Amino acid sequence: MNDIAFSVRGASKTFGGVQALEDVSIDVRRREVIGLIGENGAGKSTLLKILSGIHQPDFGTVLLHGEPVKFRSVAHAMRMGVAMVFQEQSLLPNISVAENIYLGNEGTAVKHGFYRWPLLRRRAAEKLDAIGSQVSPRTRTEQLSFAKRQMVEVAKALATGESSHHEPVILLDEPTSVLEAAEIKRLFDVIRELKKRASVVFVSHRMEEVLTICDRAYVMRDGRCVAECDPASVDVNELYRLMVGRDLTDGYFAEDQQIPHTGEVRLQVSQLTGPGFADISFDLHAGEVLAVVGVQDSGRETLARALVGAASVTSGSVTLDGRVVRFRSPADAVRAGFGYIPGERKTDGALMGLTVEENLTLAHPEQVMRGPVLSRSLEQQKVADWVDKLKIKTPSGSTPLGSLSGGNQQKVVLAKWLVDPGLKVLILDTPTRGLDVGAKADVYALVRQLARAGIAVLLLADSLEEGIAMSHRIVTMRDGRISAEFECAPGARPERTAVLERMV
Amino acid sequence: MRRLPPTVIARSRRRAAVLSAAVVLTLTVAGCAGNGSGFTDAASGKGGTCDPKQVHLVQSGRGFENPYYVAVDAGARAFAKSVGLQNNYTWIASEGDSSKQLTQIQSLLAKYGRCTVLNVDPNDNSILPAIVTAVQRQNAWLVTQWNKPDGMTPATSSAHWVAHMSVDGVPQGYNTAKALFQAMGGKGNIVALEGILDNVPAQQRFAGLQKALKEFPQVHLLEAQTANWDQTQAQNVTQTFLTKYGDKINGVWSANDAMGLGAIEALKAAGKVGVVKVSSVDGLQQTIDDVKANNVGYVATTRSTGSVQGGFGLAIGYAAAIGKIDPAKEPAEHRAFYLTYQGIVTSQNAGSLPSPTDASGLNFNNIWSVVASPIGN
Amino acid sequence: MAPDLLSQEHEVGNAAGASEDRSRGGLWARVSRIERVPIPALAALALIVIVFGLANSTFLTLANMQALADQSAIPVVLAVGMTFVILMGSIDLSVEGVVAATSMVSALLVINDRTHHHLGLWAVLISVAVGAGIGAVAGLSVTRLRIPSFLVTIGTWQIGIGIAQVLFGGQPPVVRDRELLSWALKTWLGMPRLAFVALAVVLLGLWVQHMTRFGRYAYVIGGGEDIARLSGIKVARFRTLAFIVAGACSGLAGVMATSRSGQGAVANGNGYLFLTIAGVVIGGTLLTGGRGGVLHSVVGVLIMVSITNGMILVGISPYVQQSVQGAIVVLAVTATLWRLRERLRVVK
Repeated sequence: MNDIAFSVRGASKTFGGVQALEDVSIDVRRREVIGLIGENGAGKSTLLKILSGIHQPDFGTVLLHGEPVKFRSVAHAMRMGVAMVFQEQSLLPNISVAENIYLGNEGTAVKHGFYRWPLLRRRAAEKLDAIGSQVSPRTRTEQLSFAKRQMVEVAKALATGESSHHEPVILLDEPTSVLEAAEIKRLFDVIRELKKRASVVFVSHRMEEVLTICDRAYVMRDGRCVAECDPASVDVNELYRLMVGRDLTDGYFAEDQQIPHTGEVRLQVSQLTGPGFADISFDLHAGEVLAVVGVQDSGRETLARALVGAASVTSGSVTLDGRVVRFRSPADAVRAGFGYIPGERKTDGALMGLTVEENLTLAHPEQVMRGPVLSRSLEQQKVADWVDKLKIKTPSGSTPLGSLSGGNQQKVVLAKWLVDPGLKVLILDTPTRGLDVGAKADVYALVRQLARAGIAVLLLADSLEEGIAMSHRIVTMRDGRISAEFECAPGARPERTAVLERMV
Repeated sequence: MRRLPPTVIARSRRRAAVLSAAVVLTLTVAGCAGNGSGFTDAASGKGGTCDPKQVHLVQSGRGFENPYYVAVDAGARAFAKSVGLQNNYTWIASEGDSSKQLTQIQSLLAKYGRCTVLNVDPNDNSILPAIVTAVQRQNAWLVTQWNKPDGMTPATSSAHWVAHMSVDGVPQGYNTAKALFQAMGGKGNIVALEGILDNVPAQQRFAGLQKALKEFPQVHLLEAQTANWDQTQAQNVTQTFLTKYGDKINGVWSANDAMGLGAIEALKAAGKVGVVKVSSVDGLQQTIDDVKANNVGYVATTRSTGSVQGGFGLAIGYAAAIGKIDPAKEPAEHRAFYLTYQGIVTSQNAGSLPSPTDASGLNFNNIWSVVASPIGN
Repeated sequence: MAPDLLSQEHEVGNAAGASEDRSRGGLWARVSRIERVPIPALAALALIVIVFGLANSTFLTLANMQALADQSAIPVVLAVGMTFVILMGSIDLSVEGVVAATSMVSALLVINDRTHHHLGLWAVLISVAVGAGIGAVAGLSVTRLRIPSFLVTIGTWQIGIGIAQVLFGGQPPVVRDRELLSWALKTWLGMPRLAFVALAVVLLGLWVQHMTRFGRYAYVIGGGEDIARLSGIKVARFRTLAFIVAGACSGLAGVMATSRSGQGAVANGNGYLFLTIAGVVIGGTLLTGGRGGVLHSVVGVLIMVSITNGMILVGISPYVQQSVQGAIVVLAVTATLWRLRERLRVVK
């Protein structure tokens, strides 16, 4: 077994009395892609932090090429050849790609404090070539799309890993959570390239992905490693049961909850054009879920922002219930009965420092006001109602939003719009991004419920599967324009590849 | 409206603002509150009963980085010596910090009690009410310089605020302008450098210039700009004037010496030094040297008022402390007044005049000899 | 966060959205890639020059260019030093104090009417060293004692003023050293020599910014101090160095101020703090750090100086000049920061 590159034996870790990790052992062989799958809170991020040197295990040992090691820091682990690609990207936006790849690790490319730019750029280009990326080392990093930055991130991990004598071990922390379908495909190509010169640990909560790319997978639940499985012989339902510890009741996407919409046109968008999108026309009916899918930069996010007045429109019109509307700001849109959940939940959609109550009533304070005054008791009552209805797991209404789990945060953000009885149109920009499987299922059920109540939902789906399974109709966007439209009914859903074809 | 000693400038203002805006605000509020009780005392005030040898003399100003205060200190020392109290004299520097000035004054009052005579140049007129209250609480004696809030006078506030004195800028601006015009041969064009525009001395000095311009119809004011009493700004403004008007400029009238020195530097760089004449106000030693040397075209400045303000400020307060005068019975013009005009410095008299820090010529026998005219409210 | 918004906007502007690929490289892609050139600030400067040039024919004359060069020289040197501090997300408020102190030091060490030293060029080096020393005090306090630079540099500002006052002693030393005075009074190629000193500092600053570890790490630390630490970069050391560089620049500016005013004076630093910080910000160097650079700051200072100069030339009444200057500054900042604007972006 001397082809084991990296392993953990009997690792345990407690944080303030909470057992985050209990007696976990895993092995990573040379040139192998290992999957690490589990819900949020299952312990996979704690394990990853131990593997990458952020934390030390309370018990147990880390072995690198058969030798016990103690990583003092991320930098130390990197020097030893174990490099982590962070979920929250660790690239600096304001410096060049080449600088980022070799940050703090410039070696001979900086001599006596002076940069040797040609050398630095050449080395960075080599690393980018190795993973098949076309990005220029001179580019300022912020000019890259998220997906391209992730490629740079991988190149950086490769570059840091190369400082040791052995082939590097590269840890990928939920790398696909914010990628579009086409980009995930690219990433998988990169992982296959990486596999020729490194070991890879791939962390995800998406079952399909682990089944696609990994040679072996460890399933984690409640701080333990509950199973080791072979992707070739395990199926999605089996994996779900292992991860969640229970069977699905309604089915993952609650598909039997979908009912046909009434046919009444609620929102009519006609030839809408603005910076980033052009000539967009579609109807959205009451009670309908319309999914918009597209790759990064397809223009769908900008379109969504434009619909609620947060991005500019140069021509075209939007009609709501037969009346032409023109929003100058999101506030206008909210008054007209629009709800909007932005993609960057952490920065745009919610105030992490405020309490659950405050976030809930943020967009529609009039719902908890008596006359001109905010009513504390009315607020608490309303909030308790919603917390109950949405099964939001929070100690109390006055808990800061930031301390809830991602799924519960998202439910609060959704509820923020639901408190408005006048809600007509809800625009959801990737509402399940970053949530774990259980929370996703809750959000899907909630979206179904909203549609049944007659609200028109525009869903910017996080994945193709989600878009296909959740919607009545799908439109695909490419280069800022609508490229196709598919009818979608339970049992008669379009093929993945057919939709994907129109996206790229 | 603020009245600042003209040579004491922007830096102190800003520094004070940064460091102690909040403190000053608090103190001002406290001071105003205390001011109400001051009125009751005003009527009952009587001259002091201090032993002439037990009086303690305190002079407060910004700091010796400014030569004006070196002259103030010299005058104050000269008075202290004239009454044999040179060992009972204290100079305190506020460094442009209002809260610091008030703290210093309060601790000295606590230390020396009712026989303290203070001659204070308030850093900012907003702290004056607090100073008056502090002095009155100890029944000590206060004379103030330059700054006082509008509507607040010694006569209506407290007998322990003996007098307020300031310098009238009109004759200063007028006489230095006349000297400048005469040096230009009674005709030609000038540019003017003004002080901070809402400063009373700046306005008075500029009014003096305008008065002189009326008497010299052949002298034209091309343009007036503020350089905020600052040498560097004055250098830049003069430089810009020189590119704008070129050879048309025959003279530069400056509202203070620091700006005049800035103008001289700009003229040096442009190769026009000596050709373009310069005048200013204040009587800094450096300016007097230039006027005396008569080689850079610096034709006039005023005589420094520093030693007079220092010496006579203490003399008036001392007279009240020992009971020689009863402030409550003094006429209004003795309670708030402008100093007598001290004259200008030109190349003719520059050699014979004492330096600004030479206070040996001051005669304290008649303390009211320096009163020129009353200051309205 | 700004980076995402920037990249979004950028890619919208580039129809292809792929300028970062090595296979492509149009002119716009190249220009936008080089953040080293402060395009918006240059545009604002060009606009100001055109407006004043049209309003008054004197503005564009050689004589006025000399005046502008002379007036810009000192704040430009200060801005170069300040840039590195601000790039790292700190601030240096001590410039006026350090200029005051080093102005006095340099005046007393060259031939003058108060002391008998005549150290010549050594006086310049000593003044720069004094400035660097005050900067080191600030830098070490920020990095070792963990006091915010905003507070520390108010302290070192006072230290500088204090040193200057002690040296002042009631009467400003008037400089008699012809060599030092000639910096301000004589010209090369029609431009005042002080302007060449400033030019040399700018070129050196650009080189440091682009070619040295210190310069590049200024961006790294300002862009994300946590990431810098994670990458094993000794943040404290580089931040301290930035304050030393800023102090050294202030020290040189102090010598220049002595040369220009012909004397050592506490007031020699007056007015430079606002001018420098306003210039740096208008140029597009963000106070939050990580953005901008030496050239940005220099252009910003030129904008500020041109406004002051232009308003006098055009003959705007001194009573409204402050308001006009304020309005122009707001406009210039808006123009400069326009591309960072996004409707949902929170402005604090």
